[in-house]
Amino acid sequence: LKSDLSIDIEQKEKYALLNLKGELTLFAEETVNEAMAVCMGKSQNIVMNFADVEYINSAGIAVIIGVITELTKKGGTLKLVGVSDHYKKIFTMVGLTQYANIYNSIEEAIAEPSDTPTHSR
Amino acid sequence: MLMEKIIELKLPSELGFERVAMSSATEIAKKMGFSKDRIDDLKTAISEACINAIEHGNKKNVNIKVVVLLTLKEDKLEITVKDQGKGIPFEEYKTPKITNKLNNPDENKRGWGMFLIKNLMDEVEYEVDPNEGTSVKMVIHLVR
Repeated sequence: LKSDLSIDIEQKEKYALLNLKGELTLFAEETVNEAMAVCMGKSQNIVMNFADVEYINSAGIAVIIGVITELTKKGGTLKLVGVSDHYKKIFTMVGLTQYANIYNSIEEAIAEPSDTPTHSR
Repeated sequence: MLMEKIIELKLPSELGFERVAMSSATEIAKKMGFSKDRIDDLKTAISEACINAIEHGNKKNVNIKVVVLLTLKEDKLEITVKDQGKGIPFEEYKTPKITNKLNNPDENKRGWGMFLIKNLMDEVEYEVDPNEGTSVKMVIHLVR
């Protein structure tokens, strides 16, 4: 009973917007890593949009931690948008929000300069 | 007094089937009158308990099941998730730290399941028996 995640990438000049759709679980790891590989050549500033993600479990949280680890090595940033109140609570509980800020909209996320590396937050 | 009602689910030890337990628990919790945010807490907690049972307990052995008991009481919902394995690794019960997971390449980035369950449910108990497997009992109170 595998779950599916698809990612639509919008590569902009200063950042890459990853629109996630589906479920963020263990099965999503490969899809996320492939998307990150596509983006990283052009931009280390990533905005992940969770508006169409209905289910995130602990393995999915581990996938996001993996993304932060990779971005930290490259001096990049991860910004999160479209996160539901429940997952905002979970991300805060886990400590993800110390390393990736949550914004209310894509506009708000891209308005803030991405010059602060993720690891120094 | 309301009669206690028990629903028993037997799930294949395969990732993804935790969604069946989540759906059932959601329907029951809605009927009992739980709020949306408490139902979201319940869904995450039951999902993590089932994933632990599938992966660590039953080691994804399709020949054995994960048993989920949903016990409806007047003012609370009790959820018991049982596997037939030899016990969930001790690491799973430690409080994980994100800084360790980010900075130590050898540390597994996973291991958040029990942490989330403890933080989201009102009561959590677990019993580990090397012969009988692990049983996690979670309770969520109905606040009217």
